Amino acid sequence: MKITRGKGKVLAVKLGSNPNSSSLGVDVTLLLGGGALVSLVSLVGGTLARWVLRRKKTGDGQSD
Amino acid sequence: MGSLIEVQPVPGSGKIVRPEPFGGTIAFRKPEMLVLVDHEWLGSPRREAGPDPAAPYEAHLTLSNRCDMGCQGCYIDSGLQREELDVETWEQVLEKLAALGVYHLALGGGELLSWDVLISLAHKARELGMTPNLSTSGRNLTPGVARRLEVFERIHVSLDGVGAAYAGVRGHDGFVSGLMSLKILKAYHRQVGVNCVVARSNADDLEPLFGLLHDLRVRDLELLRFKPAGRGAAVFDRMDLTPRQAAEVFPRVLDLCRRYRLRVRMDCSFTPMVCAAGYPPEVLSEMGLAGCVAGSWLVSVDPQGRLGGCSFDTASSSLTFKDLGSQEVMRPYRDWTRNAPEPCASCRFLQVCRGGCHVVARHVTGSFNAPDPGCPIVQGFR
Repeated sequence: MKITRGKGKVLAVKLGSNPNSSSLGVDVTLLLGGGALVSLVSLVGGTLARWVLRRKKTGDGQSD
Repeated sequence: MGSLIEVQPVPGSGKIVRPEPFGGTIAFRKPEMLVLVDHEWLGSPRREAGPDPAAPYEAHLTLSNRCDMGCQGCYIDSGLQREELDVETWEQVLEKLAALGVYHLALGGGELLSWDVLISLAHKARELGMTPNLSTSGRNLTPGVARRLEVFERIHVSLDGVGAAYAGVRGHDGFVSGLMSLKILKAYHRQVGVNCVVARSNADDLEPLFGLLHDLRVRDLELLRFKPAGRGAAVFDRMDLTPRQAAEVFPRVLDLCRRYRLRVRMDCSFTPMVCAAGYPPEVLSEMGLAGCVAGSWLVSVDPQGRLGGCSFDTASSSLTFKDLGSQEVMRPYRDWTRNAPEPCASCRFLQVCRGGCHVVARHVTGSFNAPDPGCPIVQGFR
């Protein structure tokens, strides 16, 4: 799983999916770890996203 | 690696990246998350910019308001006799949502709705590439039904507190029934959590619920602010949080998260309370806090097919599900931020809060354009 850090910015990583049918919730537990944990999640989310895009490109030639 | 990481292709197109005005979105089923990236990240030519996505990420479908539970704050004013969309029409709604690229559905509604209808629509949603979730009070739930609910990714049971705290919010004692449903679901489904409405009567008494869920090994809790919609409008004055409770609720919840090790989500209307805790806006934004995202990240269809920005704002809507995809549903919310009044206009949290809950503001002040009167920052400004 080779990842290279690219340009651009991960704007947000929203964890989980919302089970509630009346309003939209955000996982606030992340704030227990402060800004550092939020940044870490953002970094991991961005890395995974870049990895799947790279795999898609090399796997079937689609650029998506 | 494949089993630990799974992308959710964009419904309708099957692509990995959903193009957005700000760049793009990549959705994952495992781990469950949405990753929002800018144009430069994608290496794509810069187009129109803006904070709102091209289409909602999720849709809330209130399938029915037939119910005999009689909850005092029911936001859809449920009853027994109503004209509602039929199953075939709901399937058309699902097809429209999938064509827009909506990832997630949250289904709910009156508790007399047939489980067969819910399950069949959830299967339809899966066929269309969307992820269905369910919130329910669990009325009439049996182990046989619970087994069939595996089509839902996640199920939350409404449980507004332990014992008398439940009755304080609901106006009737349904705690034991709700607890039984939770236990049945927990036995048959891998992702079960609880929804809890937070009102004046239970805001200072949340710890027993955290303790109960910890003991039951239920790890997910979603906290919802009491809304002045449906029958909730008539009792809002005595159910709304006091200023002290509004200021204390988020720090208290965070402390309970730490002690009971639950994963807690707070709904969009709690955003002002989260912002008031003082975390930097860029941190809140990075974790996906986006305030009132009605009509933007979120869209809602009620049992009569009316389309609204959120479930609490469909009653006055002149739009229907046939207008899905129209920018009109987003306009009042988007314009709110552009024309925000003070103290919101100069608030550093404006872009992550978007003025709090406009449904609350409209009910309390008579104006949709007023700041959320429950916001601790707004209360301090006065």
